[in-house]
Amino acid sequence: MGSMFRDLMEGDCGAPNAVGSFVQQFTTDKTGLYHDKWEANGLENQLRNLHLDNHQHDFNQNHFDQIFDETEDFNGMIDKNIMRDHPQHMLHQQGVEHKHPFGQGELQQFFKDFLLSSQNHHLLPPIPLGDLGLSVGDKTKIKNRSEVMFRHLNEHKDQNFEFDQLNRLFDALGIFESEIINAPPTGEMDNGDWLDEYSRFDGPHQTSTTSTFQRFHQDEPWEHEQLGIPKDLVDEDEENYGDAWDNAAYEQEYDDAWDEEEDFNPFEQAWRDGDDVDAAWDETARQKLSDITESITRINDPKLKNSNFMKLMKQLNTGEASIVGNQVVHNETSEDVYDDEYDMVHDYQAFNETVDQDRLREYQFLGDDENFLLNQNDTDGMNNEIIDLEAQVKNNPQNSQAWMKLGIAHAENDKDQQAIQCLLKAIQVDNNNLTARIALAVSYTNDSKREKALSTLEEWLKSHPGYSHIQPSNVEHVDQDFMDTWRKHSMISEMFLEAARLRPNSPDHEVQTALGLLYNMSYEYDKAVDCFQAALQSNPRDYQLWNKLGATLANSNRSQEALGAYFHALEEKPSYVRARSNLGISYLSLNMYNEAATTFLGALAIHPEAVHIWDNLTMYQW
Amino acid sequence: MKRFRTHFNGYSVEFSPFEENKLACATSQHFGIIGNGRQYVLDVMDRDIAMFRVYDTRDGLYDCTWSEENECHLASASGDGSIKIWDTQAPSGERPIRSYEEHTKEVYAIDWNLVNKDCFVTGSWDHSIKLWNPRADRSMRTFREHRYCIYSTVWSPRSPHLFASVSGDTTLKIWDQRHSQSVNTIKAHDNEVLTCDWNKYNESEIVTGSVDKTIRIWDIRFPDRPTAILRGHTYAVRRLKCSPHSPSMLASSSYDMSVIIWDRARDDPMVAKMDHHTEFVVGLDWNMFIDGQMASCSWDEHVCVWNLGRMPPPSHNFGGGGGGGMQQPPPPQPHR
Repeated sequence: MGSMFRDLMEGDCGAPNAVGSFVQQFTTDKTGLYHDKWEANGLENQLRNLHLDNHQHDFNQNHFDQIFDETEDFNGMIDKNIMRDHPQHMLHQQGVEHKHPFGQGELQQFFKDFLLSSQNHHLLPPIPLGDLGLSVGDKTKIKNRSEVMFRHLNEHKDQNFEFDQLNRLFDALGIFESEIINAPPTGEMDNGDWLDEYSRFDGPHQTSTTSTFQRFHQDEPWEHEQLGIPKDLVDEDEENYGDAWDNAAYEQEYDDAWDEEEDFNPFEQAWRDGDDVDAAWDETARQKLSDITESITRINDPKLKNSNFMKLMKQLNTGEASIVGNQVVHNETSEDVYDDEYDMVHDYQAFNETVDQDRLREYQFLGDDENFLLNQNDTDGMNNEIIDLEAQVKNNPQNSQAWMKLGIAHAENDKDQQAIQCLLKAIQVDNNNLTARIALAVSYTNDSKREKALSTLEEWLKSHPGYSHIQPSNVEHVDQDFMDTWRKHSMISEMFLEAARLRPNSPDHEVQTALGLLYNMSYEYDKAVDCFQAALQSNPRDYQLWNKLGATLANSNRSQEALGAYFHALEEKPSYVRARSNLGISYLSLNMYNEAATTFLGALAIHPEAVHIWDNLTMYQW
Repeated sequence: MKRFRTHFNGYSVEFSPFEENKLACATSQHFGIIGNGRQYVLDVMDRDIAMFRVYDTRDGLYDCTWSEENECHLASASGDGSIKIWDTQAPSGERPIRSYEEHTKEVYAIDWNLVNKDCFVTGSWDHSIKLWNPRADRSMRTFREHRYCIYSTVWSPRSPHLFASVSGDTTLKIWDQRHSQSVNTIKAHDNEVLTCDWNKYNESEIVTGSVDKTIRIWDIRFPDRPTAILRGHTYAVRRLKCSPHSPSMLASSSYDMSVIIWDRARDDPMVAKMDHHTEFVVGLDWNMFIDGQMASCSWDEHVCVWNLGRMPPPSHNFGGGGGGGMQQPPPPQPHR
């Protein structure tokens, strides 16, 4: 036990030190970040001045190259003779000088931490490195390259982790989206598609290559022969247009497959057909807008239907109104939809509130679904449990415990959406239902709603009589910032650690569960494992805890150990669909395909509606 | 095993096609994320490796290739989008004899044509491939079809016109340098494809390596499925090189810090898994002149050269490594 807490606390304060000294070196020595020392004295000083000169602008390449070119004594600085005759000697000198240039070792370590933590699915500790004097060009490079490299290290496209991890890196290096040039990051797959389409179908790029080539060809026809460039290469481009169109059919097939999600793009079409491009732009914008508004107009709420907001949405959807720049423009027939801006804001708030209440109200009783009842058979224990609980809450909608049990039953069936609705209801009915809050935080975490999970945990702590006195240590909050969630995360983690310290000898399993969740959110799976194991010491028969332990182990690539935890959970509750489906996932990552298939089929037998389990099964093609 | 410390992070090693003991190594500071680059030319000696030349660049270097027509020339691909050609007769610290600046993003791949020895191709993160003649001031041709970063471009060992490229868009494309459209597109993996190479003995066979950890062997006449899949790496496969001495042997290096030697003629194709590096192994090559001699470079700042020696006799099959088998799906996220 003791070791576990040491782990938790040391982990929080151990890592930053590695970079601390580096930060100091950087803030005291405002030299170029990466101008390597080996250029000895003269050039390095020039570079340093250059770097300071260019501090405000983008890195001026021409200027730099000029310096590089004109540094006559540069070659003199390296003793050519020594270099040629005793290369190892020079190497040795370099080795010495490499030791402490501008704390480069630390920057190297920082990037290494980034790469290794990315590879191991751990989150980079949030350490601001201070002002490193990076130019916008440098920042753009770091941003683009780290994005590309991150993807090489992560076979599984975990977008949450990618977002969190990259933002940790950018935050530490002071890289902000707003100042990055060439806003489109190298990283985005669809990026540059416009350009690609443009060049393929309109051919300007090929044209330019051709003209370059022809210029070269015309200016220096004699050299052409000399170069031995095959004659046919010269006129090739013209002919290739024919080929290009012939191949276009096949190429298009591939493109279509690539673009499958984008259904129709009138702008692209216009490029191909040579239509009026401006009109196509409008069409694109309208298409997008109606896509967005369409779903809103379908909301069937009487209060919302009469609102000006809704009217506007409908007009935008049908094209009666459109958005030009930042303004709403009404086209001929439409009337004024709202009086002043206040109404708009007001309606939007109303809309928001309605949606939130909808969540509570819209819980669909399984038992009300006739098809569902028809398909029921008596052996279906899981659903009987849910129908029983539904009957209870229908009898007495003020029964917080029944709502909670219903929510937990849904969660165990791998249905977090329904679970959230029921648990919110349980808390609404009884604000002091602490167990429901923990369960709600779990479901929010599964649903990738980190912000809400954190708030729920905070509320749990505040409404718990034993811990309500714990105050957040650091109340400072900066809004609208990626790191804000993380500040909140570390603040709440601190509060729960404080709560855990109150009972060092008999850990409160709910506090440990909450800590386990928090560490799961920050990808610190080893710590999370410790927490769940601590919670299991006092509650060895809690099958949900065993499942959480298993999921955490599986997330940290310890699938073999995860199997054991899932077995424990299933021993306690054989009909636990979530644990069964998780077990299948672990078998998958251990390449035990037969076991995986059997397990998934078992889960489906218990719970035929869990259609997502089929996705796991159908992932095999060959 | 002979070692040489590079001080920068190694990205690519290439044996000279003219001299059996010359080795080029492209390196980058700070793992190529930011910082300078350095092109090494090394002498592989009897007992150790000595530095012959070193040339510095403003941005990191990601790949290099020896000229096939001039034994002194060497080209490197840089992170700032430029391509540098070096004359190794010039002393260390000298500037390149040529610098091409046409790519608009990082150049990640460069390869010299083995048959038509007066040209080379480059592949860039700007999604384009360019064809160059070192005597011309500009690129001769630009190929644009890939939808994401290009990570590798490799010439066919036999045909003067064919080359292959792989990209983060998960495809392998085969090109004829005389045509601006690709000859063939193969959806090679489910993840980004980081490396490819042609079998030196079979001009219709290409191997690809991907973030999905697998190596796939393709007969480009049958693009709908690979002829074999090799599994053994635990992270992305970063560099593949087919043996110049055996049609069935290849070597792979990976972000799992290992080098694996494969012989597909054996029942268990994995001949050896080598862990002489302590960081990602990014560069790899076979010596054309010395059968079994290999070089690798890694982000652990070391170039290693070793001789494979006698291959162990083919073993009997118990596990069955390569070929067919099920595709590894991306495991779904378990729920708490």
